[in-house]
Amino acid sequence: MNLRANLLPALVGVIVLALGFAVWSGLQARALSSGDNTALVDAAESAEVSDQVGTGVKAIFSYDYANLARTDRAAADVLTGEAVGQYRDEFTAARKRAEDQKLVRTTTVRSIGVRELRGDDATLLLFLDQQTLKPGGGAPESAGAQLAVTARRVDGRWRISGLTAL
Amino acid sequence: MRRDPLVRGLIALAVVSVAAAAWFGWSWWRAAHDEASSRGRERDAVVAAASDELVVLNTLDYRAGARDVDRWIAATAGQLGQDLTGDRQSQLDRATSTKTIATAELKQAAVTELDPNAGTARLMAVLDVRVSTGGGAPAPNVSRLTVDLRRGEGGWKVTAVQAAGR
Repeated sequence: MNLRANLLPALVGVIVLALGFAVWSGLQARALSSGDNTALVDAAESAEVSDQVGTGVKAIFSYDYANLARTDRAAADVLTGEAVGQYRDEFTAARKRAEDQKLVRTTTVRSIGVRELRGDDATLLLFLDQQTLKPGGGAPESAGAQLAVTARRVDGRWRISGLTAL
Repeated sequence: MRRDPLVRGLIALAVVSVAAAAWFGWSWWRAAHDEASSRGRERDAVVAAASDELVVLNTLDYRAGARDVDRWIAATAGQLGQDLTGDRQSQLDRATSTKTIATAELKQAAVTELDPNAGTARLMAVLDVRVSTGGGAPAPNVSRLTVDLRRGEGGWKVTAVQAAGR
């Protein structure tokens, strides 16, 4: 009986301490966790999505009035889902202007950053520089654009699934 | 003793509690020592700090100029912090004479470079900035920036801001 009287409070003490520590460290672990966003954490994957999305954006926002089919092919190749319609809405007007005014536009990526990367989904931010050449020489017209992009990996390749100008 | 249901129950509970403590304690230790998770945390900390600091650096009300310029100084470190400190009075004079009111909102930001050991980071950001002078209507402007940050005692601070030209 004496042993029991000593054992019970000891057991209760162990339980209280252990549960308290479990809850405390569970909360600490959660506070330390950065979630499942591997942007910049997984360097190789981040570089891959930046690379493929950057190349894609360059291709679909560059055009030559004499060879618009090349831009169309690029668009068909890199766009998927919602981005197909978003791009068509944007590009129809640009396309007409390019043909009417004989424009050649070169788009380059000034900066690109991966904001989120989760498995086969990513969101990115791009700064674009665009130079537009008009027929008859003269200085090219320069403009900048900021683009928020969502990307999805389909069959091992990153495609652009959403485009928003900021 | 061994047949006492209360003692047996408590022993079982104590074993489970200690196991739970060990499990959560281990996950806490792992989260604290995991390089990927600490890199992810730093990335999120950079975005959080830069988001606030960039808004602060683009906010100015000439009627409370001293407060706003002191906030600029508190948001910065290194050469930029020193420059702002040195220019404090001329910034205030200019704000008062032009009756400048500036407000800003961060639209999107992405970390592009991160070295957690050195405590340095680079970030790209898009802000909506509205500046009015002389009591006129605010002129909205999209500003795209390349921002350098450094980690110090007060967390991540802005050490350089550059307009990513257009």
